[in-house]
Amino acid sequence: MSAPAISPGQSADGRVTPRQNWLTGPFGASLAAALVFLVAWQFAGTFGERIPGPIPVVNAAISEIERGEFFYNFAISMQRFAIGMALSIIVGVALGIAIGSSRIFDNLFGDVNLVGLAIPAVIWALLCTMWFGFADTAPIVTVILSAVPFVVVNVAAGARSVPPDLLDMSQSYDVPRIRRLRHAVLPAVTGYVVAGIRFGVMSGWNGLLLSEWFGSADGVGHRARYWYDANQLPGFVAWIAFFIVFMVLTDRVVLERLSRRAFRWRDGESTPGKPSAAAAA
Amino acid sequence: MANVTVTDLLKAFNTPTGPQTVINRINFEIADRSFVSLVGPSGCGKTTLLNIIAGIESATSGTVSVGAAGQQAKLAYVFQEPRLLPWRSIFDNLMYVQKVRDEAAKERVHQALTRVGLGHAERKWPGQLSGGQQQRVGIARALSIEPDVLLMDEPFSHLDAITARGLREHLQELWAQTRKTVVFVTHDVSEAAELSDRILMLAPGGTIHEDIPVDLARPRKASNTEVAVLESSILRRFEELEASSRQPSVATSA
Repeated sequence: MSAPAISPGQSADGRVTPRQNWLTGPFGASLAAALVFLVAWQFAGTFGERIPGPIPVVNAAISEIERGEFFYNFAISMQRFAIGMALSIIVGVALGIAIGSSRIFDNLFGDVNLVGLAIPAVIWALLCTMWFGFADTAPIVTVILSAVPFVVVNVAAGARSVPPDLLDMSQSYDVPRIRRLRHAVLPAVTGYVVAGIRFGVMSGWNGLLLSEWFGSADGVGHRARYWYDANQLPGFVAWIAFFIVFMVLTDRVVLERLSRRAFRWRDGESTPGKPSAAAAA
Repeated sequence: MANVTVTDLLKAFNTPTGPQTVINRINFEIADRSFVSLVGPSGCGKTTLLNIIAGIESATSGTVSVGAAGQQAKLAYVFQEPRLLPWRSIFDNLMYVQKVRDEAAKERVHQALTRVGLGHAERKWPGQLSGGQQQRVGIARALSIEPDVLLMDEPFSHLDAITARGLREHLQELWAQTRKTVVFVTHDVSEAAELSDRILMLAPGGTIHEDIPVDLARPRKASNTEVAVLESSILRRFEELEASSRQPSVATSA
């Protein structure tokens, strides 16, 4: 009688080996997806110059870096984005908590926020260019108008979801109001705030690029338009790649970690106040 | 001294069909260091009464006083669900309710958790504990503020029978050690007979039907013969009450 066949990556007793785990794990799967995308992109690039392949795009990106255009324009865009997002978070969180916890504020601002959500970022970019011209104000205001509605709608949902049981418990134990706000209300809202910031960042960044495209003399959006107007697709796609990489890195390195930290109690994967460790069975 | 005095208490809710009386002018007093259960069918006002004593709800009329005249008694509430802050550790959950969060409070919290057998779980999230363990944390939280009166609203009703039995035995041990005044709400007559010095039977409509002293030796178990006899006696009284409430009045039938 022959021994049963053993699959690659499988030990004799049927257990999965580390190599098979790595391939199907998050990093391996992402890497595989990226490689498939690159191969498909290279294949598409062979059909003519209307779709530049990865190598011309990388060359154009390196050229922009060597000329100093990348750091200069990115720094300008990041400054505008940082100012816009900081203001968006302050306004969005305050308004979101007000709308979520007060019927009067909900009646006053709820529908207005809905309108804000419905207006695409390109409209805000055009309007701000018409209102503020070619100064820094237009892109910053575009970021705010694009991001705030997303922050507000998520934070409002969080404010509405503060468990009344916990507030009753706090009242029964006569917990001081400031402590209730800090330990019962704000943590209940934090996850929603982080989600709101994530969506706000995506929408704000899109708004910034569109505003710079239509009405700036510098910045990422302006530089992408420069290559588009020159009909130089590798340069244009290189700038698209720059801001995609920026968004992915911001999300993965900053926002996702913020989100995981905000929700670590729910996943139960770590002990409070200690480095991440598997919970004891 | 931590007795509870309820005087002419009335609680009515406004409904679309008119005012609905949940507690109907009841009067009773609970002596210091006694364990009293409020027993009755669903909807008879047990939880509402406890919430009024706790100050979570207000009465329509009447008064509730806890402790001696001129003294503010400390109350602690154990809910049906644990009601723990899920984003704070077990230790921080207990610290949350301390009036002053100093070293003495930390020591009290540590002792309370040890007393309920969860000293090892201080740094865990509530979500990492079982339902029974979370309810023990709720009890520890109540004990950690060293209350004068402990209010307990069906604390074991959401647990399985085995866990609930273990917690009832544990509660008897804790009460024997601490001798707090306890007001315990339950719909489980057997549980009331097992735990209490006195049982107040609440009738539908929010009145006190009967006041039953319980003079059985401790510690008790639900399986004890005397507890079982008392349970069936109380259940019989509830059946008689229900039967009498269904009978038409003499004047109407004549």
